[in-house]
Amino acid sequence: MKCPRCHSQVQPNAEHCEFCGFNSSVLCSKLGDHWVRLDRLTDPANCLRLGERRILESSLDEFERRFPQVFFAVYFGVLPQSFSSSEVAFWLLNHAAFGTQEITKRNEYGVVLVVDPSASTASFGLGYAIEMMASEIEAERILRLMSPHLLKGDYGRAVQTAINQLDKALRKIGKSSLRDPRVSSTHALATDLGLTPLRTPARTALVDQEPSNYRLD
Amino acid sequence: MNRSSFRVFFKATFALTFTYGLILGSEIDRVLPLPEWQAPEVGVNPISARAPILNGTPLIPSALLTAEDLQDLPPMLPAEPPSLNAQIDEERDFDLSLFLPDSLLGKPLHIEEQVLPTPAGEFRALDDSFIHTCRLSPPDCYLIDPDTHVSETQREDLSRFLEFHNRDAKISAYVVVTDRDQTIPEGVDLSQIGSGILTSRDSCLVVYPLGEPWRARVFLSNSVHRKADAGYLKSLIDDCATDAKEVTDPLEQMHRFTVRLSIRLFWLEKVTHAENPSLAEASMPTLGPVDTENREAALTASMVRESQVENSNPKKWIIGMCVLLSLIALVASVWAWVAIHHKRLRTHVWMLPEVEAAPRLGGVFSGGGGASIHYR
Repeated sequence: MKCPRCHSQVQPNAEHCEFCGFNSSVLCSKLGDHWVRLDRLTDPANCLRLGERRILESSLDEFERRFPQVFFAVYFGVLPQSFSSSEVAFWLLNHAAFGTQEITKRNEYGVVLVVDPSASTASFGLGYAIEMMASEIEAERILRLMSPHLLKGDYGRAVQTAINQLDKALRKIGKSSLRDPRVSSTHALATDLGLTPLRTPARTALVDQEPSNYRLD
Repeated sequence: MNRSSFRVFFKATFALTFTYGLILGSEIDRVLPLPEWQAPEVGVNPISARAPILNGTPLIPSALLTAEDLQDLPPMLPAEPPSLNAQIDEERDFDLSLFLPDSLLGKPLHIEEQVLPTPAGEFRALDDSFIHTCRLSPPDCYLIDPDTHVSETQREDLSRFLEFHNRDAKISAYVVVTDRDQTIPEGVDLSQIGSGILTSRDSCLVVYPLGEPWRARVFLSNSVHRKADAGYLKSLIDDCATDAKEVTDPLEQMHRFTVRLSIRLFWLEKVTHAENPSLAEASMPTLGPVDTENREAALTASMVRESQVENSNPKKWIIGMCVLLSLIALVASVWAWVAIHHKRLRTHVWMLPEVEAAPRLGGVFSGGGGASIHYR
């Protein structure tokens, strides 16, 4: 894990960055501790055209239909110099309620893309659940694929690329979880419906076997 | 009065009217019966026998009919139909053989008298006008008959047959019809016949004396003649002439000769135009010029050999096609399976495993995981 501010390595249970002292409270002191409500496509920098916005809304709907637990949010904005895009992504995932199809979606299954066209930076913020499945390397790969479009100012295509690549990565995870009986032990009814249940009976045993990846409350 | 009351009143009025009408009609029938003819009125007049009768009772009283009325009646049919044979017998002065074949008229079949070959001393050379007419003949006229020896019907049949042959064959056939005692004079250049078409493509020219197929002369283009075996060419002519001599009618002879020539030219085409010399050798039939049975056997054998030689390559071709089709079917099925699988995956709803992680950096839902790039 990396610190959103200084990008140095952070320990899994660290309360603050050992190098720069970054913490959530540092951001909250500047951006506030209150909750904010945002659309999935928030574009105060006016980077997206109307047609692109419609297409992306449709793609996001399809993405959320296929991955009912996950949501993908995009924020285009010119940020103050004191904030990096990764910091804003971190703050948004912890303090924003995004207008997804289902209000019950939890932010730990959220993916936030923050693009600062002025500073030419783009950051992916991943919730805890997504972070366990899609690694930072995968996120960086997706950003690299987006960069040519971002460089050309084709923000719509860049976001579309991000959605497609994230879809692909999550599908791969879903397939591997289906193949892995430890992860994908299913209830009979859910199996009939072609769904993998959220809570599996083997979850406790799974956590016991791999404590490094899973943690009980 | 509202509408429903008016409708009920109208129906009641209509029912009463209808019932009264039925009662009144039956009463009128009872009061005014239909007329019935009495016995004196029926059969007194002899002409009543020709009056139309319905169920034994005359429809018109005989007493009321006059002779003028009977003239308007249709004539009575005879008891028996007239005999067709009697009419034919009456008109025997016509020659029915003009319309009916002899077999139907009971006449014995006409037996043609044996025609003897023209003596050598009575041959006449073709005159210059005949040759000139042949040279002026258009290239698409395959039956050249300047003296009109062939009847119009036969000419059409043969011309159509030669058209079919020349459309499909690589060696085209032209037939020049002469009289039975005519011969080709020495020194005549036959290559200019048909407006010179014979020199421009592989051709076969037959100068056919009508009625003497054994004197028919066959000329081939140089390119064909060089490749063809002399024995085969001799057997070709013999075969055509032998087949023509099976019948006695001169036109029928020429027809058979032409058909046989067409078959032989197709075989010759296989010899001269074959790319594989072995195929050419294999398709060369060995025929005896006279013995019909041996000839037929040889024809059958050569045809079987041809079919065997020709079928060897198609078998490989068919096997190749089958393998190719199998591969295409395999690729198509794999592609279909992949497409269906991908479609199923696209429409599948994925439920990701639920995991929990220790909070970092004070974040409730995210601990700063992700990536960042500077794209400029």
